[in-house]
Amino acid sequence: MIIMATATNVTVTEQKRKGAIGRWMEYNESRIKEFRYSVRLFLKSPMTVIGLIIVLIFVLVAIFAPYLAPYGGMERNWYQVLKPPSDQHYFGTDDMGGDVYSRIIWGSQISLYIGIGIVMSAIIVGAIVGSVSGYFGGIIDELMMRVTDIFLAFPALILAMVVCAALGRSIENVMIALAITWWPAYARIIRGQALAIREQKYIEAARAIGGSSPHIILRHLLPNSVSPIIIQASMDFGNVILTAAALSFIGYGAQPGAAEWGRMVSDGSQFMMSSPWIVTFTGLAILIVCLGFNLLGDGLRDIIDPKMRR
Amino acid sequence: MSEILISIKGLKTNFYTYAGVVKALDGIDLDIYKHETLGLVGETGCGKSVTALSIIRLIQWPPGRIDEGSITMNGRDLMKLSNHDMREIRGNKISMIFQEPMTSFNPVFTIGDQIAEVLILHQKMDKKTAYRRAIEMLAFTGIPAPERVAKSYPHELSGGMLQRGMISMALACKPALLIADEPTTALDVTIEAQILELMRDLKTKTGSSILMITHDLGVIAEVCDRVGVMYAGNIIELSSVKDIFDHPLHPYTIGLIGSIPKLNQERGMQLETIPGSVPNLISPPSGCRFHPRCKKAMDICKDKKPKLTEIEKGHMVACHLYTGKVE
Repeated sequence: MIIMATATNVTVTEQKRKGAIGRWMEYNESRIKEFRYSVRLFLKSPMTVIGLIIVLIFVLVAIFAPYLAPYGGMERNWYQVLKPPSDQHYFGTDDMGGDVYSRIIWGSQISLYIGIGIVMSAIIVGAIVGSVSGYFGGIIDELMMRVTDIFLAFPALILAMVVCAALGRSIENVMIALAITWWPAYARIIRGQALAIREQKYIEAARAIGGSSPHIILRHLLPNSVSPIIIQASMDFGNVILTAAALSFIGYGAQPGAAEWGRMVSDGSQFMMSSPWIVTFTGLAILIVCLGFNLLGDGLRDIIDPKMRR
Repeated sequence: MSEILISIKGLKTNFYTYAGVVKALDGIDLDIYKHETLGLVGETGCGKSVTALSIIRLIQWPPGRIDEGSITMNGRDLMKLSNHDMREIRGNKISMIFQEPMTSFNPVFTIGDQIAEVLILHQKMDKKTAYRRAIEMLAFTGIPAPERVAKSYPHELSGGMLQRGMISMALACKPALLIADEPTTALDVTIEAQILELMRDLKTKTGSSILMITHDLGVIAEVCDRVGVMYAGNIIELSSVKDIFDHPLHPYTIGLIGSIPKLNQERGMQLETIPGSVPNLISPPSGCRFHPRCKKAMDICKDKKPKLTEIEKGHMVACHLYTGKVE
């Protein structure tokens, strides 16, 4: 009992001496240590850093689009149709006098919105289905995984086209369509993790201290399956943007004339021979962003995988 | 040593596997008194851990199931409680420490967070109070720098340190019964001695009863008050530690104690062994499950299962050699 008393006294006086930030640093000391180590590993791989820079630029451009774009996304100048790149229009203009440079910048907002929306909803649905299925196993697992299989059996793009066709043409419907085709992959990954983790001793220990199943899933199962989710998500982000652009390209999704990358490539493809700059620059934007996310995802996998560390 | 804390009656736990029904526990009767340390000793697969898991109802279905019997704690039958009520008891009234401390902690949270978790769960403490209490608990189990250990992740600590952490976690809610399932098997001997010392010490401080499960008779001699010897899903002898070592009654116990290597034995002497091996519990031997290996087996042993009977005061044995005389 004396030991206990002194221990608390020490903590209290120590806490009084330090400010709020100091206390936070103290409390999270080991987390900060881990984070620093991760950063160091991260900086060692140049490709990952390039990926991160591309992703950061993409996100910043999307956020600050109103300040970066010289023209509005839907702004038309009918006197400047199909003009080649100049210092007025860095990437030239399209067939309706829209500034390609500005439209790519505005388009990044839509792409980011689509990417986050689809990946997040896929993770949420996938996490629920995967963890419940993997944790409980048995008939629940069997049922949920067969449903997942049905979704996986459809070619993603075709299923998304069907959903889009049924729901009508809009960006939101593209997101719904892609979210429906995207979650099974996450459900599979998380189920696989859950199957391995539920056999761990600490899950049994958590049961032995009286944790309920939802508690165990939320606190022990999901936190331990976070890394493959992060890797999959960062790799997927590029794919999602690409697939959404593809859907727009074949006529689903954004309205004609909208500042959406897939739509812009589609609209510009008619003038590919005479005015190649529309397709080229927009296509490059899609390419670079997808590449950035892939590089980042690849690098993250190496960093997060504990077998590659230490 | 008088009041009964937990009373187990006719406990039968079976595992339904593809190969058949494994009758892991074949009617266990056991009383655990308040403030005592009761040891359960036996070979691998004799049902020690299954008994422990049955008490806190953590037998996983499928394949395992408690088919018969009652476990009463302070007058409440644990078998009849809802899952929700049982969760209130686990970690709170009965807690458990496991064999491998290294894997019993969640690798993504700090030790302090995980000990605090029990307190948040059962004592409805807020996060800060619980964390402070967790540090106190770590100090209580004799960890030198509890603040630092609380902030560490499991992979940063040694096995002995983690087992202390595990004990802090188990004792955080002041449970009436602490089940220790081979708590020192994964540790080296010096750490084992420290942990056993600690458990003995904590028992007097907290007043909890301890159910110590082990296959090591040395551990039993070290910490236990009473001991139950298990064989193939039955308790075959139950008495005070002194009696078991001084004059074991059951032929299996006699063999078990005879097989301990002795320091004063001559070199080159053969170690005593019990012939045969543990029976397959899918089709266990009829009558007394030990009779095929028993030197003193009689005809009755094949047909009738002996009951656990008190032969001397506080010394119970399940063997026809002794019950015959009484009848």
